Amino acid sequence: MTLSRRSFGWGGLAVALPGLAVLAWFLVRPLSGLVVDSLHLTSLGVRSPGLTLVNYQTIATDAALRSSMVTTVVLALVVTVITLLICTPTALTLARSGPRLSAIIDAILVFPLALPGIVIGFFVIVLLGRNGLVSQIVEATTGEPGGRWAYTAGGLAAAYVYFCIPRVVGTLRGAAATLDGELRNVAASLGAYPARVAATVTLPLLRAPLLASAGVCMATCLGAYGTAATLSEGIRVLPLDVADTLYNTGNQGLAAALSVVLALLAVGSLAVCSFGAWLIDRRNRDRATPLSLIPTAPVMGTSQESAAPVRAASEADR
Amino acid sequence: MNRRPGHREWIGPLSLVFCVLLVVVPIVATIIVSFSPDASNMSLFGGITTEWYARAWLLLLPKIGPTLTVTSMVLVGAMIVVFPLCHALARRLVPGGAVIRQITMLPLAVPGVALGLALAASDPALRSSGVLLVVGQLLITVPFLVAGLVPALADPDLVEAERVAATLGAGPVRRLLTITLPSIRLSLAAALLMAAALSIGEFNLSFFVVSPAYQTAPFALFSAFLTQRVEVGAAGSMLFGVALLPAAIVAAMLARSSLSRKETS
Repeated sequence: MTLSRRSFGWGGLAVALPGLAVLAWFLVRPLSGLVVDSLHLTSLGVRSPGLTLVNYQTIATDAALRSSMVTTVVLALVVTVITLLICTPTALTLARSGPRLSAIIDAILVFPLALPGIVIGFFVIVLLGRNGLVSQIVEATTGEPGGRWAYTAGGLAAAYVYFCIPRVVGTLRGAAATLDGELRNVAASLGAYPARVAATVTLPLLRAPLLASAGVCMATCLGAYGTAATLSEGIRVLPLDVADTLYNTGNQGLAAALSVVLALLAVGSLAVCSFGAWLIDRRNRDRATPLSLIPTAPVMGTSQESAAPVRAASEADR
Repeated sequence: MNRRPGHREWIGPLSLVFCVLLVVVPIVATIIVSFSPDASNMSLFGGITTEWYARAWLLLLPKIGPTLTVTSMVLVGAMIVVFPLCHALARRLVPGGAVIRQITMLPLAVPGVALGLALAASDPALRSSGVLLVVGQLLITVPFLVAGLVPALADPDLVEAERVAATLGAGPVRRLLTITLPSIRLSLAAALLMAAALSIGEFNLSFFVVSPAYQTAPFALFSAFLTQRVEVGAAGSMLFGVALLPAAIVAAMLARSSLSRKETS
């Protein structure tokens, strides 16, 4: 690396300074300010001097806030499990199918990545709202109102699953493509049922990417403000409380404390999952040789690149 | 060639079909609702109207200008501010590069709500001019730009080519224009498209830092969802989706073409 520094001089570093300044001023400073704000009491928009933990005590004791925190965490966990259950077999099948079919399905599954959360929340209203299509079908078949789940935890969970799918499929897809197909075939030819092959061969090899996508999934669900705001008539989640506290009561300190809790939950789950994935990766690398039965078997390198940048981002993160 | 002896697997294909249906059905349902004269009384296929599209278009029209302005500012910021940083990170010119890479990933991990609140509290003076909105959206795109550009810029062939050009006397600007940019053009285009799509659809963070004069398209959609008929919201979503479609298609094509280039080389 000394080589490159010699040949490029310090000019490369100099042009990077604006970027570093922007990160320091608009990312590090505001986030530190958020933590400081959360340690002060605010009344009528005026910050009182003196550090205090009252805001955090309020979150722990206020029944409404505590219940919305529990809802947020449970919802994120449930959605993560459901998404992984749906996406893991999907990604594995996709990695085994032909290039033309997989290209089309890839494009379909990754498209929701570009959709904003509010539109995905609206999808749930279209299907499960008061006059939703599913609601109308349920009503027509049973003769009584039903299927209006849009504003319940179920509706919110459906929306969260929807926008987690492209993120998780993207991550798992790349990992599944690198799996050695021969291992599966050998296990199957030795008489193992597909379920056993999956449990003893495929899933152990996918533990690291599964953990990494679980982290991305958790972090995404915890911070999804737009979706929750679109479906905000019934259920309360933490991001909604942040906006409410700020705009309805003007309590900057409490809103900051709620944001800090939310950010800690999201960063924490991402960090724990990334660390677990890193540990597994390292252990696997140590015994990588005995795992590959046929060293010369071509590794299907399909669409390592085409997987969504989120995957790359989450990998860079870990 | 990939024939499995013994048992047929059915969970995989089934979940694949389920997954595709899960993604496609809401989109199809929204298309149906957006064209139906009245989606509320089962006359879903009773006729076709474009009235809702006309109304949704009127709602979105005033936001097109601000959206394009903000998004192009974000892209300019990405090129002027983030790209040199990615270059320095890829060449390990910055001390503490690993820490800085972790910091660039923060906007992905910290929820937009928290970051938006933090920005609104730290620089309230920049809010009315729209600067804070641009900066906030730029921060959201940083993890994606870094993830897309740093590996491309760290390519050993590119480093070697730049070094050779430098020893032959090419200045930094000339190296950038004739060597660096042409060789990473596909990664750069994909990263910028992703940044543009993120910026156009950003709502979580923007909600806290937006100024009334620079409300982008998602704000019009959001208020339509809450106050208008469901058909208008559906038509608005479709217009929005159609606007994002070209970016998605071009991004997919770029990803594939960079793949095939890699395979042939």
